[in-house]
Amino acid sequence: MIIKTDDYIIDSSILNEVSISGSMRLPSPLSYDQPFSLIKKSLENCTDTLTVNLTSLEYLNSSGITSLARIIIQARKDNKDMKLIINNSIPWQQKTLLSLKQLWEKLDIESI
Amino acid sequence: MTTFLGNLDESKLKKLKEKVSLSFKMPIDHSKDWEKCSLISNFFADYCVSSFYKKKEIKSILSTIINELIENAMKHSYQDQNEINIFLKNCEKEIIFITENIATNDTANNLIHTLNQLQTKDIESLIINRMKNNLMYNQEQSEIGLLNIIHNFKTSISAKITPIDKTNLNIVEIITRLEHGQ
Amino acid sequence: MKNNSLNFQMKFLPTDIISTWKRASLSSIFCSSLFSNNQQKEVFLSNVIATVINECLELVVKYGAKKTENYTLTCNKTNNITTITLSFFLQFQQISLLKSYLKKIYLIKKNNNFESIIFTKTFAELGYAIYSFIEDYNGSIKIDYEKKPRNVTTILKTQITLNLNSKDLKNDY
Repeated sequence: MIIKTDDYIIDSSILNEVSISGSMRLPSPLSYDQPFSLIKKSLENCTDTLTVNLTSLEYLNSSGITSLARIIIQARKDNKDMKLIINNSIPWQQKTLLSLKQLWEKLDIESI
Repeated sequence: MTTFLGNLDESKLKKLKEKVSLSFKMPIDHSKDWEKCSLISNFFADYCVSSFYKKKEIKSILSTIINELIENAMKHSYQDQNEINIFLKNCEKEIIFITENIATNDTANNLIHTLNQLQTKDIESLIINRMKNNLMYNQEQSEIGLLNIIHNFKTSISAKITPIDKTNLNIVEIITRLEHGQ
Repeated sequence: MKNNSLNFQMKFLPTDIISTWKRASLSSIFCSSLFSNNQQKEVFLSNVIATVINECLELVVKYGAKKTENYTLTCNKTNNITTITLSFFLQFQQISLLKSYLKKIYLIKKNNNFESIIFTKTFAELGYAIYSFIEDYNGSIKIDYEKKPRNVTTILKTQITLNLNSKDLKNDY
């Protein structure tokens, strides 16, 4: 499934893979529920490690980071492997996303 | 009584607000104008970096910081007293942002509490704890915006809280400093 | 704030725009995007606003005095009326020239003697923009200044106010 707006695209059409691109700055963690439902669904249905590719995500605000953190905690509870692919030339990704490992040491983060 | 938090006093703040590189003032309605946050942040970042060399990287950092500051001001503005004022001062070695909004006593006290916590606690653990609490109590706001920009971009934050006479409202000014090498 | 109203104020340093000219265009596009954001159907108005603000910024940056002081651009839109106000510093001599140039433009609007305004010594580059603003968009321009000047070189705080009625815009391209 693909969610496409003027600002961002979330693509979960490939099994075990979700990619988010563009700029996501929604008003509250609650407002991420609908677009991030694709990640949650992919997590429920995954047959292997769920890879979330964020390399083309230019911006994500603190509400979005909190929502992503909620999904990581969910993956930890369900004991499902999760991997984030991040872009090392986007400063906030390097800074913020690496510290999400503190929520779950098994979270795999690949920086490219 | 006016409260100053961090390395700030009246004369320093007055000087900072003189001859600003750019300032923008507008009433922003939390429910209707949310997308303007991103528009304003990107404009400030573009305006600021247009004379810099490593434009792309610095723009990304500035836009992220300004967006969090405006979102913070917007979320904590009191009802229809929703005018947000944002200032940018581009100094030789640092970029300074000031946001100004009207907030209730409770909101102002929360800010004081958060900034005081920074004196004694590790920021990273504060952020992680807030994320965990957010999930546990299904909180409406993330409450990590300011902490994130302090932690991720090594900014320093100070604040001035001025009570408005005969109300339970305050003018909240948050001053964020970011050192840069260009 | 009602849905159909919009008001904002921007302060800037002319020296910043002189050092990086792109900032004038960035600012005008940003201001116009606030309009189109507010009134999605009014893409045409937003385009006009971008053009007008860009010309205003270029004018105040080129001719303004005290370029290290903050200049102010204020936009106010209520229903169909959009008001753009620029506050900056100008020598009295320039104010007089600009005022008489404006009078001339209003006059040629009647006679359609366009050539006479694009070969003047000062403000010639503004001729077409002002003419078009008045003629095509039915806009009005007012120039005010504070205090009485002591002599022609006195620098005065000046305010240029532009009014546009979106009902009068001719979108016939």
